[in-house]
Amino acid sequence: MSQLAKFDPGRYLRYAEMTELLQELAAAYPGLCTLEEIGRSHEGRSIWAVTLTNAATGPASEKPGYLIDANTHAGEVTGGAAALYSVHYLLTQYGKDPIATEILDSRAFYAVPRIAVDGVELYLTSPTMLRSSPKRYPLAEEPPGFYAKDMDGNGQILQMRVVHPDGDWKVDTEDPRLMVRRQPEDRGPGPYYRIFVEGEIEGWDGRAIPPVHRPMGLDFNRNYPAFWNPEGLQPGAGPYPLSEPETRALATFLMEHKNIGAYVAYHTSGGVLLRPPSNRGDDKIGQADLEGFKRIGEVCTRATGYPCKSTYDAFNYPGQSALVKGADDWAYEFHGVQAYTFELWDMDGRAGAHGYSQIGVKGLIKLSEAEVIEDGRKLLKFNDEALGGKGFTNWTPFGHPQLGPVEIGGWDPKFAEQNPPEGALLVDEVTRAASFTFQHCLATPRLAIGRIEVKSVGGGVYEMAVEVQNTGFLPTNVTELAVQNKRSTGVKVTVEAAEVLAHRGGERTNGRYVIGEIAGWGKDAAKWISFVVRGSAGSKIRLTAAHERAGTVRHEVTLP
Amino acid sequence: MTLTESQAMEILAGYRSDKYQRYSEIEACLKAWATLYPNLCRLESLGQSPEGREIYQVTLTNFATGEDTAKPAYHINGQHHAGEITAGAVAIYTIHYLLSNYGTDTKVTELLDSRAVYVLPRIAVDGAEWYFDHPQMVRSSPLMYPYPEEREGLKPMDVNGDGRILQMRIPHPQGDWKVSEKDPRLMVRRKPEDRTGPFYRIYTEGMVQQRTPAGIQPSYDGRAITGDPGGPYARELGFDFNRNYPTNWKPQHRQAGSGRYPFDRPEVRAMAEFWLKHPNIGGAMSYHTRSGMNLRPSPLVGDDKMNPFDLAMYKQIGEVCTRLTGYPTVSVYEYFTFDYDPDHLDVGSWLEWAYDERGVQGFEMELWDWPYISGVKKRPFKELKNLSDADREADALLQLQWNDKELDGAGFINWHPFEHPQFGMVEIGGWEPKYLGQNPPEKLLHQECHKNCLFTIEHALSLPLLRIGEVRVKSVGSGIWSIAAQVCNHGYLPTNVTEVAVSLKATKPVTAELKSEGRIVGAKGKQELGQVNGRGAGSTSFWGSNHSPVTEKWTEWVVVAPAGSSVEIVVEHDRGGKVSRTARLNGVEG
Repeated sequence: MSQLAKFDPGRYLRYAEMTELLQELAAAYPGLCTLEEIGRSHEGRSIWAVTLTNAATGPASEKPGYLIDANTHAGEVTGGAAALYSVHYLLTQYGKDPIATEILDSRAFYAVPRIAVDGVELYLTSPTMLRSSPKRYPLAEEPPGFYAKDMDGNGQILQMRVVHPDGDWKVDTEDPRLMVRRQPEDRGPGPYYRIFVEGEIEGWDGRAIPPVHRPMGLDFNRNYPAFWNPEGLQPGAGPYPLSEPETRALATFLMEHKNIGAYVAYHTSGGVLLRPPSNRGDDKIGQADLEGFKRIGEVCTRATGYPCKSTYDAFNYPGQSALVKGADDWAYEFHGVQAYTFELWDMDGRAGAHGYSQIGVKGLIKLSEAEVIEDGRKLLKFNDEALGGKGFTNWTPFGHPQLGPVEIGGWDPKFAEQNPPEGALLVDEVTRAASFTFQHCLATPRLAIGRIEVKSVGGGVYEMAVEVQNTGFLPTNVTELAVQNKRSTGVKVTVEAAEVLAHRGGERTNGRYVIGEIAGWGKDAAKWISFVVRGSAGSKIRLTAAHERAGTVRHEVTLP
Repeated sequence: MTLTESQAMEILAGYRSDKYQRYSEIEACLKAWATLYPNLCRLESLGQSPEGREIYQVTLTNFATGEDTAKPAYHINGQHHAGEITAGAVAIYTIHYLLSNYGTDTKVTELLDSRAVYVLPRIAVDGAEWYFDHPQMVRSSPLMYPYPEEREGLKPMDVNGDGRILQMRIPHPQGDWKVSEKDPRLMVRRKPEDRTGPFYRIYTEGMVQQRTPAGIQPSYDGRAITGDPGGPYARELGFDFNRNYPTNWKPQHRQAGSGRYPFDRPEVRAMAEFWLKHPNIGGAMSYHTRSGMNLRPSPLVGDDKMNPFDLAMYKQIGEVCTRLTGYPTVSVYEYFTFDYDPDHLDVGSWLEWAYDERGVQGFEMELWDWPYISGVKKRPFKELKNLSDADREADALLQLQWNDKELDGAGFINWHPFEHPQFGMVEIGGWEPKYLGQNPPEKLLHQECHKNCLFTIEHALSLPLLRIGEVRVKSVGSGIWSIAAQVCNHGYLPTNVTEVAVSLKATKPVTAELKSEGRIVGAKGKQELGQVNGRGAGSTSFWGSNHSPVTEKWTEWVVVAPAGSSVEIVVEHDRGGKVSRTARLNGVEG
């Protein structure tokens, strides 16, 4: 059976399955879908981009563009599933669902469903946890140290707890599965535990247990040029901005598609739509852009229930230097794209526990120990009731070759903590994700030619007034930064097949009339330009209005 | 004077944790404790006050398990401020509690066996006596400061001879106060639209003094009443010991009470000199009144500018305090600051010196919060400024109700007429300033003492504690031995206690020394091991905190020595203590 025929939005697809699905979709919907390779990964896998638009209503390059991507981080496979679901939905529902139809008729919808193609494959086929790429980074060789490993062969890397008088953990009084912090005043007989990642020690000398070494430390989302910092300041940064073929492919794709005005990068977890800026507060961002980010953020909250927060608000807390983020910051700061990071899957929220999506990390660190424990109990209850007990492995004795008797247990790091398990919960996430991004896509600017008033003034001379409209919610420039960065240079009107004697409104440059940016929905969503032209009655004048981000529209005017 | 055991027992039989003590009573108790518990308690005087009183301090530790200087130490001090006599009472109670529970209470026993506790119950010894003997308030010292003589103007005095300085209200058409409609005892601010009296002016109970040929003395020309300091403090007695520390010290015109130069007060300097000679002090508590809040650094910057590790440790220990006392632990800057103008932040305090200069994890506990126990919400000071008159009235009503219910109304002296020699008929009344406003009534003193004592025990027990764990001796050739030793920190806090202590060079690295009659090959006999984490280290990182911290380090030596001889391993750190272990060189060749 083909991948297309058996497509299930509640499954995580392996690389080969994804590739087949995309190829089958491109073959099945030739007028709506094109598939291209935009780069090759470190291990040589193709990185795919699909372009979805109805070719009959114009080429993608002449339509406002919208980009989704996923799996900048290897383990955040919910994002990849959401991207594939979106592509599949738009193609299969074209002509049936009015939103899918309007998107493909009026916009170019781009999707790069899997960036960390190597990392996702490792994540789905082994117990390994990794950030982006299986490449060894920052050290090419593995030094002695503690390495995460599936010691008991159950297919997961969980936690090991070891009884120790100086341990910093103890067992909860209500739910014996839950480990809670031993408080400074806990001086009773215990037992107290030390907790380690399930694993073993390279070069074990029988002495102190060293910190965990994570050999795959590259983080694609710290490899973008905006606010890039070297490894010492920003772990995961890579040797220089866009050093990785995967990030460079995505960046090049975005730069070459100047019609992309808005962008969502799918990530997990938390259940929050994150927006720039990541390194400063909202008082230090253009207020029109802030307003746009917030209005679209509200769309997300209505569609998905997930709040929208600035990355700075979500993660910044006293004592932490501002987090420097990745692709969305670069897209916004350098290119003025209205870019978001969408953190899917909110197990905390579903369990009724506190999550950073609601109160930010600065709220989480203020929680009292009693609240933290209450949250832990709620999550275990969620595991029992909603995950059928599969999310948490109870502590099980294991004879560790180096540490002696330990117990292994804890949360499934992949399909409870980082992603929903396959099935209904995953379907719920991917449909939520798409319900927002489809609306976001349709909020992009789109040019239209409105009224045209032509009047003969005698002698083959005509006065012609043209109304150029923006029918989208967002302004043609999308953001003010796009104007500042020269990524948006205004609407250009051209008049062909007639001699222009004079014009009013706009500035003439290189034979085109630039009328500036046009606001989104509201009283300023149109601009007029008028011409005095010479032509003969009955001849046709070709009018074109074009904007990098708002598309190209053409109109023929027959002179009366 | 030395006491006999029976004299000492008699003195201590009279000790009560619900009574404020005079200097002589404290002195007697301290001497009695030192007499009755020679193995647990030593008394010394760190110096003398300007009026010749001793600055007493006791050292509490089980001397059988080692000298105090070889143990991690905790410092408790009270009464930088003379009138905050609750502070002295809590410190004295702590001595009582530790000595009378040693051997029966496991925590107390562990504390005195493994750590040293220094208690300096009363710094402002002269001021406290003055406070007991006079109706006036005094900040730290009865010495005249900043002016050498009295000043003209309204001087707080007990004009009606009831032993207290309250308030005087005088009817006046341009008065700025009126009687609350909700409780006739309560004065509320006159609103701009209030046009029907009576209205009052309110002054501190006192007399106007003027310069006369005979000097400054009560005298009133019937004109404006000036010089009311706006509160019950005698403005002549303006030394503030808690502004006399060198850290960020500013002169008097920038920081009231700071003294002529840092440490110019002998009481303050005596304690500081003791600290400088005792680098084993890693944690400390300074008692004050009143707010019911445990203050932590920083007084000068927000939490975002604190060292993140130190902030995390302060919060963890601060939560212990909240669990035991009910008092929240708050940053001085974030919570306890009225005026954020950088020129107006209080500076030169003990807390700044303890943390920012000595790297000690110190807290300043503001004991006693009677508005709060009356039901008034605790608010950051910056919010207090913005309270409406209606909020203030509601809060005051709660306090009056509590006073009526719990104190049978004794805390508020109702307005009563008095023929003032200078102003004619006035009414005198208001809140009891010393034994309600500044300190709890004695019947509520014990609970204040007990719960805070319990917190300091936990805080002291969270200090680092170095121990030698495993020692592995292996023969690696004829008469050649490899010796490896595990150095453990059994405390919650790291050996350095704070990270700023390391950058300030206020503490040194852990050292491990091998002493042998033989020859040590390769490495030095004494090795520096840096600092050793405590078990609290794992709670500092928010993300990925599921890998427990390493709270031990290993060190090793190779020594050439005859089989059967002994080596001694000595592990030492200022704040982690000093321990040693002897190992015999025998075993199979490896």
